[in-house]
Order: sequence, then C-alpha cells, then structure tokens
Amino acid sequence: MVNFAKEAITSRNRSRRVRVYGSALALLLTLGSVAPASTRADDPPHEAERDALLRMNEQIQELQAKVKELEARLNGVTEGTSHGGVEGSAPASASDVTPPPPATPSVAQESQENNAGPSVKLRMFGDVGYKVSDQKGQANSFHIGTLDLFMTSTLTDRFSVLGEVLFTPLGDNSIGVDVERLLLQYKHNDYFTFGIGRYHSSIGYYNTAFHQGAWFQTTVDRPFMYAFDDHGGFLPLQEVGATINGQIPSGKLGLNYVAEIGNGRAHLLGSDPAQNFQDTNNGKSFNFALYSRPRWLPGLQMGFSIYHDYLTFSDNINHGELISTVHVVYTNSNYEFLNEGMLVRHTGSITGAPGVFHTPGFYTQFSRRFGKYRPYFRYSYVNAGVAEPIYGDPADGPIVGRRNGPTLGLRYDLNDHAAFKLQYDRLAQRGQTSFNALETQFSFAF
Amino acid sequence: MHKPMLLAVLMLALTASCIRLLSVNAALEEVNVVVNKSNTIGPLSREEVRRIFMGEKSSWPGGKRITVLMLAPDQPERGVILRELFKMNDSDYTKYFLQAAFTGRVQSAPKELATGAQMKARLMANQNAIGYLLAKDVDDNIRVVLKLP
Repeated sequence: MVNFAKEAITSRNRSRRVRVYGSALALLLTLGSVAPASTRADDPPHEAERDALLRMNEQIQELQAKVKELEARLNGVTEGTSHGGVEGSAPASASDVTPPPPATPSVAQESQENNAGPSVKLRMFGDVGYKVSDQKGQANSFHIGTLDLFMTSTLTDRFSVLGEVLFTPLGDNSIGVDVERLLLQYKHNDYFTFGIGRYHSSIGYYNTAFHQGAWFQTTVDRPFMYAFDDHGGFLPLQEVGATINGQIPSGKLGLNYVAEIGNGRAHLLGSDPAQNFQDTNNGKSFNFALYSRPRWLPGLQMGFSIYHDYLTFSDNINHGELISTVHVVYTNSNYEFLNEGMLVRHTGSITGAPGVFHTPGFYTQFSRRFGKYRPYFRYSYVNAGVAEPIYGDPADGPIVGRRNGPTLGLRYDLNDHAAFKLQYDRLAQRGQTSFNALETQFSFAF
Repeated sequence: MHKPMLLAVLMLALTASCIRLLSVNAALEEVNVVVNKSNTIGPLSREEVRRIFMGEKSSWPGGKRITVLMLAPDQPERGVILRELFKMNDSDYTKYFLQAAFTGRVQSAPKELATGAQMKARLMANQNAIGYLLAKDVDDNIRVVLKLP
C-alpha cells in the first residue's frame, strides 16, 4: 500500500515533470527559432538542464521510432486484405502509401510483389473553360473539354494493357465517345517492347509526349500540326496497328527507336480518320522514329520520324504520303523549349495527273516556370497549297490551307492536380480575315 | 524580468538551437542506395541509379524486373533522392510518373513505403528491389550500391 502510494506520487511527479519539461521544450523550440545564440552554455546549472533536455530528446526519438515500428506492424496485418481493385496510377501520396510488409522478410512476399493478380489503375483527366473570339460566326462560349478515362493494368511481369476512353464534345453540341487508345504491350526488356492495338503514332515529339490530357500540356491546346482530327488536325496521329520500340545500346547518346505498321489514316469525308476495323486498302502505313536523349544533358531530346502510307479514295486514285518530322526539345522542372518541323509530301493530284506537293509546318514553344506560374509563348505555322490533292480538296476533309500565328499565355498550377490557363491567340489564315481569341481553361487530373 | 531568469531563458534557447541543429544534421545525413544482399550487381554510378529510379532501366543484368522503392513524401531521405537523382521536387516527381504512365513509357511508378524500417524489410525480402536508407540504418542484411550525396 505504501509502495503503491509512493509509486502514485512518483508517477504524478514524473508526469508533472514531463509536463513542465514539455512546456519548457516547447518554449525553447519557439525561442530557439528567434533568440540569438548565447555563449554561456558552460554554466553548470544550465548544463545539467541541457543534459536533461538532450536525454529527453533522445527518449522522444526512441519513442517515435517505436511508434513507427508499431505502425509498420499494424499496416502489415492489413496488407493481406488489399488485393486487386481500382487504384490511382500516379506515385502514391502519403495517404495512399503502399501497405508495408511484415517485419520478417519472406520469399512469399517477393512472389506476391511480382506476381499479384491484375488490377486496374484508373486516372481521369478533364478540362472546362470559356472562349471569346472576334472571328466571324463564332459566339463566345463556355465549353467543356474532353473527359479522359485512362486505364492501365499489368497482366503479367511482361504484359500490360493500356486503355483510354474519351468523352468529347462535338461541334453540334453532342458528346462523342471514342476509344482513343487500346494497346496490349509486351515488354521483353528495355530494348524491345511490342505493342498491338490502337495508339498514338510516334510522328514527331508532341503527339506521344502529351497525348490527350490537357493538364499535361503547358498550353490550352496543341500546335496546329498536332491538332487531333476533331479539332481540324490533318496528320495521322492515331494508328491501329503494331508497334515496337526500345532503347538502342549507345552509351551516352541515349538512342531510342520506334517502328510502327498500321492501317493509316482515312481522308474520306465523313469517315473516321482512324481505321479501327477496316482499312481502305491493303497497303499499310509505316513509321520509323529515332531519337536521342543524351545523358550529358538530361532534358534534351533530338530526333526525327518518317511516315509513309498510300491513301486510296473513292475514285480509286492512290496518293503516296510521306511525312517527315524533326524535333529538338529541352525540358526540365523550370524550362520548356519545344521546336518541331515537318514536311508532308503528297503525290498525285486532284485530277489524277502526276504531281508532287509539299506542306511545310513548324512550331516553337518556350515557357519558364516561376513558382506556380508558367508564362509561355508559341508560334505555329503550316502551309498547305491550294491545289494540294489531300489537304486542298474539300471532298477529302477539311481544307488545311495556310495557318500561322502567335500564342501567348499563362499557366497557374493551383496544386499538383489542377491548373488554370489563360491564353491569347492570333490566327492568320489564307483567304480569311485574321482573328483574335482569348481562352481560359481549368484542367485537372484525378 | 530578472536578469538571472533572462540568462536562464537565453541559455535554454541556446540549448534548443543546438538540438535543432542536431536534427538538421540528421536530415542531411548520408543516404545509401541499397539492394538485396543476394543481388550481385556491383557498385552503381549516379547516372545508372538515376535511370533505374526514373524507370528508364527496368531490369537487372540477369533480366529480372527491378522493383524500385521510394519512401513517403514526409521522409527526409526522399528529399535527398529527389534532389540528387531526380533533380525534382515532389510535385515534379508526381507529374513525371503520371505522364510516364500516360505515355506508356513506364508501366508502374515506384512503390512507396511509409518508413525506413519498412523499406529495409522490403529490401531484405525482395531480391530485385532497390531502395535507399540513411547510412546509419544500413547493416549486413543489405548491400550498398551508391552513397549520396
């Protein structure tokens, strides 16, 4: 009984001491951040207190380590229940950290890590905005952008599948559903990956660097030459076929290759540009791209691509199509400097007579980040001749013509998953009055 | 305030400053990039480790798929890795792997673990894993392939 009372008193004293020390420590930490350092640390009474504080600090650290260990064990218990399901595809944040393993290492865990059943990782991207323009016939409008459902799944150690479904607003205010990408991939190693399905063709840099999610790209929209078909684009940016890609052992040059074969793009008016199920001819499109990411300057990429296809129209006239692109881009956390050029060569003519037509195009884009702000500038140009057999014939789709103009804008990252963009465009077109446009966009990933 | 009391407060403030300095030094402590003990890979260069962590190199010389482990954002070692290898902050890192997955370049982002203890346990359990630990937490159960910074 006496011992119990003594213990109770000791305990009370101890807790009071802890409270006093705790308060003192809090006060000290506060003062420590503002008070100038003193040189009188050799004063004996304070030395004793300092020792006590140091001991307390050590004890706190030990306790923190124990708490972390207990948390790890607790999470280890729940690990076995989290199989399959839908997960986010980005690196996990603190709140969705991978459950830890049991404290004791096991072979079973390794097996589980590498051979867990397929699970879908789902991400969604979207954007909304408002656009004003002085273009004749265009009303100022609120608009929604594309809602992008992006899914990936690892089927085995080497097989994976990637799917992307879009809900896109169309010119008649309806919403179109589009399987933008559906690709089964086999990755043998870093030097050879094979894919089959529908994918974005590796023409140039922009098309495979940014794909559909507006949040990824700095600007509101894509450069003219990389506009998708539902925005007046004219290049075969989507392809149904097979692709191989990988690195080329090249040391510091960091070479990579891509080779693709597919159905190519349909240019018949009213048909879907991507030939998802039936090609219009037996000739297949070929694309080859080579690019370098030199290890001596991370962020730099230089490369070229060559694409060839035969286009067959309802009059059975074949037109050869050769698309060449070159690019030099440099990107890092703060800077983005994109430069690409293209030359499209079409043979034949609207009348069927022999002829060769070239359509040049380029864009240059520069942006610099200042904290959450990123101002940017872009200039785009494309010039298709009036007599161009594909881009100049209204029966084969929209007229490309000549388009050029600057883009000036500001991107503001609200957080890691949402951005606001304000963009001014001035567009000059052959045979039409130049016009100005101001557009805002909220883009997000979730 | 009495002079002795003022002096006492100043002394205690100095002590607190020392403690804070000690904790900052701990955060700047050496971080070792480590692999499973059975992994026979030799010492790796900073460039090689950077490529592995960024998903540009995905398999060990024997062909086994590399499992890259990262600590959660609140762990100080992660800051060293992001700064020294990725040259990115956490936001850029998140965007990088999101975009890499979106382009199909990387099939999965590094696995994230809450604590160094979990990292160590995972490294001991998985022959193909690569991760990092504070130098003071490294022992004979795992192998160091690179020391940072």
